[in-house]
Amino acid sequence: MRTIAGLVGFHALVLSVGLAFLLAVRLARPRPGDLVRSLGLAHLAGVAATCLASVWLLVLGGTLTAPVFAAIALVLLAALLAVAVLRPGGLRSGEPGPASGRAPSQGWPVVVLGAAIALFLVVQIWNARELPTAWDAAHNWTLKAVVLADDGDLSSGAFRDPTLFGGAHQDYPILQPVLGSGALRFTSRSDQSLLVAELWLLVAAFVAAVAYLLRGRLGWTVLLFAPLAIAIASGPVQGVMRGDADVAMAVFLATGVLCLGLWVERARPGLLPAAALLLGAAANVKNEGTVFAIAVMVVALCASIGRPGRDIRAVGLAAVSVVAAAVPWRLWVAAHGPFPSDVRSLGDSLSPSLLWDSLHQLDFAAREILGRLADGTGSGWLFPAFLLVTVVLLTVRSDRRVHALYLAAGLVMIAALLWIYWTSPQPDVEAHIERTTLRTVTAPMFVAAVALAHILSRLRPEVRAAREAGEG
Amino acid sequence: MIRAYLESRAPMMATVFTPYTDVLVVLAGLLMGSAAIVALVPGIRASAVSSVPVAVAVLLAVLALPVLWRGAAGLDAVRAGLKEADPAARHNKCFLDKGFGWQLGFVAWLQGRIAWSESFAVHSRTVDRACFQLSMLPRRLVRPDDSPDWTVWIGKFTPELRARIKDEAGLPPEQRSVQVFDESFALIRESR
Repeated sequence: MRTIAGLVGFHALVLSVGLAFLLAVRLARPRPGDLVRSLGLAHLAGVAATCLASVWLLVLGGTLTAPVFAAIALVLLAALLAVAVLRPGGLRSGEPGPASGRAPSQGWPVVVLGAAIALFLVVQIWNARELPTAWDAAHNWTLKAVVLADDGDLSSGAFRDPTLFGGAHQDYPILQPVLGSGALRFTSRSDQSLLVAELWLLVAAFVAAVAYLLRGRLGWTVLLFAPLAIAIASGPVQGVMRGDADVAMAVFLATGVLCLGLWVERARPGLLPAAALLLGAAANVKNEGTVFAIAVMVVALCASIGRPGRDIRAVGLAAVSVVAAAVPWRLWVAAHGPFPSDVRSLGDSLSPSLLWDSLHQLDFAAREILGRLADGTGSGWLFPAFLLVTVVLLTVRSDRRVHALYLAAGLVMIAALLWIYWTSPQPDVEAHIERTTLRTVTAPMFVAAVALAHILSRLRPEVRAAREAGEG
Repeated sequence: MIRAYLESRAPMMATVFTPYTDVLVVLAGLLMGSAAIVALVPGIRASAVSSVPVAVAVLLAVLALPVLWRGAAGLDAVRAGLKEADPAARHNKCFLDKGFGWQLGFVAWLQGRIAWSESFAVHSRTVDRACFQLSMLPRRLVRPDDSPDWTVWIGKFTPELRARIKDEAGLPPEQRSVQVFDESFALIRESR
C-alpha cells in the first residue's frame, strides 16, 4: 500500500509540473481532453524539470529528501502556473496548440499496432517485478540511486572516490539516479524493480509524447506508430532491464529533436522551450547525451540560418539553455575530479599521431556501429530507411530544412560516437567497443524513429496542403 | 605507421560480407522495393522518387508487429538470464556474477551488527566494493583513513589480529572489539 501511495504521490508531483510547463509554453490548452492526451509529454517534461532542479540542488551541496523534492515540485508548479496565467491572453488565449488539427483517423491497423505497443509496454512494466540488479547497474546507476535515496547528497564515495568505487564512472551525469532515488524515497523501498519500471514508464511516455506532438497533422496512423514500435523493441532497449541509462537519454533526446524538427517546419510557441528542457535533460543523463544535445542544437542553429532574426535569437536562446543545463554537473566534476573517463580530452584527442595510430579503432567502431544499426534484420532496417528517406527528400523537395535537420542530427550523433571510439583511451578498446555499441546506438535509433514518424506524416496530401496554406 | 595499420588488419580474412556492404545491400533492397512500387502503382509513375518514402512506409508497417513480437521474446530471454535461482538475490546478484557468492553469508551477518548510521571500511583483496556497498546500504563504506566505525576483514588473519582475538576471548561478546564470523571473516570495532 505504501508503495502504491508513494508512487502515486511521486508521479502526481512530476506530472503536475509537466502539465504546468506545457500550459506555460502553450503546448497544451487547459481542456481536459488536451491535458489527458498530453500526459506522455507532460511526464517527460515533469521528470526533466524536477530532476534538473534536483541535480542543481545536489551540485550546490543541498540535501535531497522527499519533502525537499516535493517542495521543488510545488515551487516549479506555482511558477509555471503563474507564467501560464500571467502571459498575454492567459489561459483563455484560445491560441491553437501545435497538436491541434484534424481528428485522428483510427482505422483498424492503427488500433492493432497502438494496442500492441501499449500491451508490450504494460507487460514490460509488469515483468519488471523481482528483477535482480545487473552488473553495470550495481556498480553505477542503481548504486548511485540507492545511495542518493539513503544519503540525500553527493558525499558518498560512489560519487567522489574512484579508487573505492572503480566502476562507478563518477564523471557520468546523475539525472537517472536522481529520478530513481525519488521513486525509492517516496516508496521507502530499495528495489531494482521500481527503477526499471521508471525507465519503461519513460519509454511509454516517449511514445505518447511523439503521438501527441504529431497527432494533429498526421492522424494516428501506422506511419506514426510503426517506426516507434520498431525503435522501442530493438536490441538496444534491452538495456532498460539492466537498469542502464541509454534509453532514458534517448527518449529525452529524440523527443527534443522532434520538437526542433516541428519548429523548423513552422515556428510555433512552446516547441523551442520544450526542446531546450528535454535536451537539457538528455545532457544530464549521460556523457554522450551532453555531446549529442549540444551537437543537435548546433545543427538547429545552422538550420535556422536565413530565417527571421527573432527565430535565430530564439534558437540561440534554446541552445544557451541546453548548455547552461549541462554546466552545473560539469563544474561539479571539475571541482571534485579528476575522475577516470572512457573519453579522452579534446586537447589530447586532436593529436595527429594519436589519430593516425588509432585508425584501426575508427574502422572497428564503424563496423560495430553499422552492424548494430543496419544489419538488415528487423530493427536493422530503421536507420538505413531514415538515411534513404531524408537523402531522397532532401534532393527533391523544396522545403528541405526539416529533412536536413534530421539527417544532420543523425549523422552528427554517429560522427560523435565514431570520434569517441576513435580516440578512446581504453586499454582493450575492441572489447570496449563491442561491449558498448549495443547501448550507444540507442539515441541515433530513437532519433531516426521520430524523424521517420514526422517525415512520413508530411507526405500525406492533406498535411502538405495544410502546411502550404500555413506558410502562405 | 602504415605498416603497423596494415598489420593490425592482417589477421582479418578478406571478405565482402562486412557491415559496410551490409548497409549498401539494405539500401539497395529499399530502392528495389521503391522500384516495385513504381511498377505496381500507376499513380506514382509521375514521381518515381516519391516512391522511396512510400516503400519505407510499407516496409516499416510490415516490420512493426513482427519486430515488436520478437523484441518481447528477446526481452523475456534477457529477463530470464538476469534472474537467479535464489529469488532473494536482488542487489546481491553482483556477488554471484563475480563468483563472490561465498561472501553473502558474511554480508547478512554484518547487516545484523553494523547499525544503519555507521560507517565501515573493508580490508580485503577479494571484495567488489561497489557490490558490497550496495548490499550494505545505508551503512556507508569509506576508506580506512576516513575514521570508519568498523573494519570488515576478509582474508587470512594477521598474527596481531589473532593475538587480539585471543586476548578478548574471555570477555563477553558485546565487549569484544573483534567479532569473528569464520576463520577468515571478522568485524573489528574502530570506535565506540
